[in-house]
Amino acid sequence: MNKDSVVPVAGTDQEATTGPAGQHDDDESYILPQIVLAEERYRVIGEILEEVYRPGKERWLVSDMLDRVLLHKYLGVPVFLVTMWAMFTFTFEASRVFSALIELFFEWLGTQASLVPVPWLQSLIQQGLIGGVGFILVFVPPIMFMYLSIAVLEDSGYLARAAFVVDRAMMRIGLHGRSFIPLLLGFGCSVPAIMAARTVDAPSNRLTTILVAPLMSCSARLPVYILLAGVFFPAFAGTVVFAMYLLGIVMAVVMALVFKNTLFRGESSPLLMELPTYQRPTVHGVFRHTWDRTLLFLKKAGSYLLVGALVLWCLSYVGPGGLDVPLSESYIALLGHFLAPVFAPLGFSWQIVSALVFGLFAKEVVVESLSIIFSVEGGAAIGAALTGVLTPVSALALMVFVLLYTPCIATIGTTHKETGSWAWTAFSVVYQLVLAYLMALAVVVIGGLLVA
Amino acid sequence: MRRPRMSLNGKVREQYGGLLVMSVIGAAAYGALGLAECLAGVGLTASVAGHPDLVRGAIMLVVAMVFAAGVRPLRRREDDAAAFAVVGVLLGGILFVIELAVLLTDMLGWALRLEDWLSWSLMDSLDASLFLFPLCASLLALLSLRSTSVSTGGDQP
Repeated sequence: MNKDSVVPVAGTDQEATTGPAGQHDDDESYILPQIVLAEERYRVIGEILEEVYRPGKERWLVSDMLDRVLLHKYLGVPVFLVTMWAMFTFTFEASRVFSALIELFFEWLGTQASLVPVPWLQSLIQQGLIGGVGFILVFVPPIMFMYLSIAVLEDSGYLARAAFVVDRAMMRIGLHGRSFIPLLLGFGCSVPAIMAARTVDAPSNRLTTILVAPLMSCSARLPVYILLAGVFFPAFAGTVVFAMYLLGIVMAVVMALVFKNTLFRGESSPLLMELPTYQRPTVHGVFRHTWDRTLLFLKKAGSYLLVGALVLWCLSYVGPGGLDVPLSESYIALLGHFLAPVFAPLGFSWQIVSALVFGLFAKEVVVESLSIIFSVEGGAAIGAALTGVLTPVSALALMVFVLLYTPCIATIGTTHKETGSWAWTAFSVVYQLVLAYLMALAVVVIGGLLVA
Repeated sequence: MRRPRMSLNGKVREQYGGLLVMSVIGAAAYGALGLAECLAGVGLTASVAGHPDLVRGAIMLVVAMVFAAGVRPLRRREDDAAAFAVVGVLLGGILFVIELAVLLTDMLGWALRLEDWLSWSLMDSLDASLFLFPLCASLLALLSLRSTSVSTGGDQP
């Protein structure tokens, strides 16, 4: 039997197929049913192979060979990090020119919209629609490139190895297995990540997974990173985006460890997964996956991001003084000024604070709000506006805050649905806000000291 | 289920000597340039190519580690010793493809005279990975050619 047909168990170097003794408090000899099933299945496979298959010494599988390194005890994690870095560098750097072309198109469209004779309609089209939704569409190329990279990794069979390697690292520091698959889904969207926590066995482990899954950086946060990294760290933008995703994983692991040692004391259980043989990804398959996921983003932009842009424009156009008030007297400015003192230690101006509040609806709205609030169209102009209200250190703090605070309303709803408790839902929101604030503050303090 | 097969012990084992040389060269080249990039990243030296980047240097050091990890198994002629060299070349290939994609898109931006690329020059997008992978790939190609000529008896008296 070749190596990859053995069921690898994270944290045990592919040796054990049973859960650790005592994982059920009431029964020391309890073994998980799925592990028993897997053992039985491979026993039968082994018996059949013994009868029909004679392994020759000269035959060897490419998959086995690659797994020797990709699942290596020490090299597995560094190789995974190289792959991730390569993915984000490709996502950011190679998509820039296509984003610039889309931006040029919307700039031209904005010029055409200036011919509209009705002032409020002109403002709605230029600042609300083009400045809001149009600006979000500038981020379609990087999102598409990221989905392309994920599709290649997924179709090649490497993503399953990545889950195995990281889960093994998690098991070594005492965390339960099985939760990395839901966490991995969190790179796409927090909602399916929280729902996938159903596969985690014990209730305490499941709750831990639900609580930490939103810390993984979902694709909706990507436009925020790309905008800020492109403006403040243009030479290292790919590396900065990679660092954000890495920080998400680290924070998820750290918080899981904190919860395990405080709220939910329980035993770890191993990740039992069947690793597929490596495949050469097909062009058709990769592009199909990429297009399907990009289409979802475009639908989102054409539906509630459009509605969001209209609402945001209304709030920036209307104020207590009536219609067409200066931005500083609009409702959006009132909201921003009201909360700004709380975020003053982080160096966030009222414009940033307003964008973060609206970002609770969906993370893409942060970028949309910034564009509308600054009443500008196009990256260069918003870039100049951002450098006026943020320093590189506070921009980094803003990225960390966006990474760690509650992803969106849909995530809150799913958390409630999956936990069945408003108390745990409120805890999830509050701890994420506090964590985001403290981590952003740490960035400001440490960054300030380093700059000084 | 059909699975890709490779007669490793036969054909590849003949190349262990060559793979060993390639692994040593790969480890030394990626290691030296990765270290130089790390030093440039913390401001101690000038960058080898492009912008100095500490993480980029660390990434190259990981590739060097993969090559280096294969040296001992190759010397001992272990069964799956070639895996480290193959994965090393694979990682080098991924970095090469990405840097090439970045270089080509930058060229496109420059050719279209987009604002951000007006002052772009070829040197801005050059990276050590662009030179190192062709070096390793050439060595691998040379090994394959030599192995082919040996197995067909081309070089034998």
